[in-house]
Amino acid sequence: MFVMNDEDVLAGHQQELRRGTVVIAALATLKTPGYGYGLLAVLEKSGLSVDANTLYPLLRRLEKQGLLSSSWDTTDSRPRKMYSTSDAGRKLLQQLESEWNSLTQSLNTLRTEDPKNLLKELS
Amino acid sequence: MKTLTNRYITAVIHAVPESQRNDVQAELAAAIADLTDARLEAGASPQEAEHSALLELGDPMRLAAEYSNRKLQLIGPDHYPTYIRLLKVLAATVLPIAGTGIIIANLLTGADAGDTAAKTIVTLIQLTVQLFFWVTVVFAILERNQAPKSMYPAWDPSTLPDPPQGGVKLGDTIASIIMSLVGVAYLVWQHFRSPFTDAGGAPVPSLEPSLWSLWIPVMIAGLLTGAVVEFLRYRAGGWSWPFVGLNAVTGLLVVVPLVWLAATNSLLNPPMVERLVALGWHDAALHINVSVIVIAVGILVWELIDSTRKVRTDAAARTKHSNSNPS
Repeated sequence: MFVMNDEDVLAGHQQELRRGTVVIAALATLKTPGYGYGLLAVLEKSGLSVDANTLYPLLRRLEKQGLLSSSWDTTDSRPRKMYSTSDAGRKLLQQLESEWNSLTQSLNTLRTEDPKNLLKELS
Repeated sequence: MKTLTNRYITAVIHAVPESQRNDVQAELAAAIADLTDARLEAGASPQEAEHSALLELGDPMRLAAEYSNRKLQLIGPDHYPTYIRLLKVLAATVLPIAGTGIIIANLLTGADAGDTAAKTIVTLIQLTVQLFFWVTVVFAILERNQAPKSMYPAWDPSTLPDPPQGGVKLGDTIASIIMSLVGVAYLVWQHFRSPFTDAGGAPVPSLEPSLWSLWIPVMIAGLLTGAVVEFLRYRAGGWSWPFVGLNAVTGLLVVVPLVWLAATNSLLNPPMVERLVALGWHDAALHINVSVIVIAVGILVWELIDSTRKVRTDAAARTKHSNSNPS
């Protein structure tokens, strides 16, 4: 059988795990209006590196869903599309955050409790 | 020549719906400029910076698909199971039916065996390609349009295939039925087509024409009944003693006349044998008669042994199957 090397396996699982977090990060960061590259740099700095070709289309999708509002900032010589989290976006962010917290809690319980006890309850 | 950036933007916005083009173009231009600037600040040369910025954004077709939510697959996971199931069903029904139809039609209209085989193979290949192509086209269109939910039926456990267990393979059944039909087709065909013609130009049948008054119809009936029995056996889930009996009867219906006629040298058409002798095959009648007897008896004996042997295993498999599936 073909076995993937450990790094590929790790990278694959990491990617799966991170996929949903970009939305939370974007909605949270854009409570302060920002443009694509600015957000990319902020996320990168805070350790959540996202590919540019994932982030730009994502912003557009969130805008289409009404979670982000946008306007063109033409004060700079380079016109940029500024995004900011809409009311609907803030509400969704709250829901996602509470989901995130409950996931963390569940995982913590599973990791700390003796698995034997949990299995015993099942049987 | 346009800059790489311009060419990249053009490639992306061409693949984005008209309504989004201006917006995507402006945003993408700013994005590339920002990404390039960041690299310039890090000390890259202008060329390197542009190149690596575009590399980060990746294949324009992929990016455009992300922007416009377009599918990057011909048939996606929503439709794939239905697609594969439909292809299998069509391949298992249309191809054997069409193949048998072509063989019979060709033989009846008087094509020779080699010609028929070649035509059948070519037509089946074409048919397979056509089936595959059109089913794929329909599903690719479905994939690209929001089909109503009813278009992709929800899977339900009750739709699980319930194949007869224990040695009954659909392929075997189909092969066996086709063999029977080919046998029927040959019996009919040999009367109208022949490698030899008489003085008047009419074909010389291989089998004694007077046999049409009784024995050839009996053998045709035996072959056709055999095909029906084979089908019923598949439906019933394998061999059981009644089927062994039925199969033996239909087999004997074909083999007994064949062996009797061959043994009494009344199977072959004498003018046909004369032609073969004239060609230098002096013992043609003897050789053919002996071969017919050996092959016919061989097939019958094998069928009987094989069906008897499988009664037990098929019955066991059926019981096990119905136990695990109480409905």
